[in-house]
Amino acid sequence: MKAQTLRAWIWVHKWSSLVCTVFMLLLCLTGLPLIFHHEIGHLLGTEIETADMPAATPRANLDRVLDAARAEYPGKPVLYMSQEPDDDTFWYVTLADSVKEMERFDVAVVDARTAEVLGTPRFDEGFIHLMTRLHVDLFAGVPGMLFLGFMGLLLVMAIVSGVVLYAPFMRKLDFGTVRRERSRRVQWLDLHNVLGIVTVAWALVVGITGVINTLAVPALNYWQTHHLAPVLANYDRGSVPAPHELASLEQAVIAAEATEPGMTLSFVAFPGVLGSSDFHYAIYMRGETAMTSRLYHPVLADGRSGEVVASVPAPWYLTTLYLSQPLHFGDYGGLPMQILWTLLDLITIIVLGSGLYLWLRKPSEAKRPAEAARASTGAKESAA
Amino acid sequence: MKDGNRTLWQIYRLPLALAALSLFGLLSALFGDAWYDRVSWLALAVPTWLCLRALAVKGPGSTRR
Repeated sequence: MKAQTLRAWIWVHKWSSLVCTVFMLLLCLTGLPLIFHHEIGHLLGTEIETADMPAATPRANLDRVLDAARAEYPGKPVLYMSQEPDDDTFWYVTLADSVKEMERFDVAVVDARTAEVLGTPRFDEGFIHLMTRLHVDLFAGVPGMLFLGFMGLLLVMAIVSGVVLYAPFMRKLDFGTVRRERSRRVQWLDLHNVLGIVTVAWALVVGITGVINTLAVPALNYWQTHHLAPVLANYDRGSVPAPHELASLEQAVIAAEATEPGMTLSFVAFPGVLGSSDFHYAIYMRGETAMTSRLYHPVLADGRSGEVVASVPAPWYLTTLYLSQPLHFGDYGGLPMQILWTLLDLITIIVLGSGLYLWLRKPSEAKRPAEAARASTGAKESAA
Repeated sequence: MKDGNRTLWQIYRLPLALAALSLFGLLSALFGDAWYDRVSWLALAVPTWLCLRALAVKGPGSTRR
């Protein structure tokens, strides 16, 4: 590599990492508890536990489930009804002051068999909420998400330039060498290189899928206006139906299941909310395999009549978003995968920290070795 | 450690193999459960274990300036 090219890559690596490192450290630290948010919820007693019932216990009528939730929060519209991917014994019914609310939600947890309200947990306060907001949007809504997405792009640049710079450093070293006999700084440089290069694929996947996840709100808005609106061009019904005008959700879901046999109900977005249209229940169906259970397929039912209007497969950008979620969260391979995610996250913290250390502890000009080694030394100095 | 410059292939072949293994592990659990999950754990455990070994055996804790 020419000295000039090398210097350009060093410049990219130095500045892309310097700008994003503080935020990446924050994301790695807040991401750690989020890997185990269910387990932490169990420990804190905030996780809902349902009674054991035979698997064949009939499921409660969804309209009764909704009525139970509405009784907890009289006068508030329902926005979403959803369930955990691995536990269908209860429903989360999300309500708010208005269907356009984006921050303060009320949630009623309703037993899916008995339609009894099991609890009204607050998901907008407490430790996990603090970690989530710091991780997702820095308490700044969509602009905060997009800002973190941009920081993620810088991380991707830092990783790619780091991979390019790996070669000039390793010309005379075997893979995995850590020169113990050398100064503390050289040892940290070697560790930065080996930890960085060994975890590069994981870091890139988690980084890129994280960036994609920050685009969720714009992607869903785009889907509403460019994908859904044309399909529903003839369905302008003037206004979002009031709660008393809504058709039976139970009937709408039965109709949706008949439209997409082989798929099961995952969640419902109510008329007017993000992820639906102003006039329809968006009934999100999912497949049964590990992969297809992550791919949601919305069936639209008229909010006032309950009739199925359209079945709209997700476009490529939403499929990408749906697949980016598990790949970022590490929640698709059980506890061992959560532990691996934790270790790889901790290793990434060491890579970030050592990078910062290498930048802060540049050797002084006087110690710089012979001119011949200049390019390589320069690279080491700037490896932060 | 030997003298002499290594070729790009010599430098990148092991990182490439580890990256391929990691991607295989990341995707495996996405395509199925049970055995797919177990394959995924094994594949992701290799780079993780290499890092922990580099930190434990050769970490700057045992520095000698």
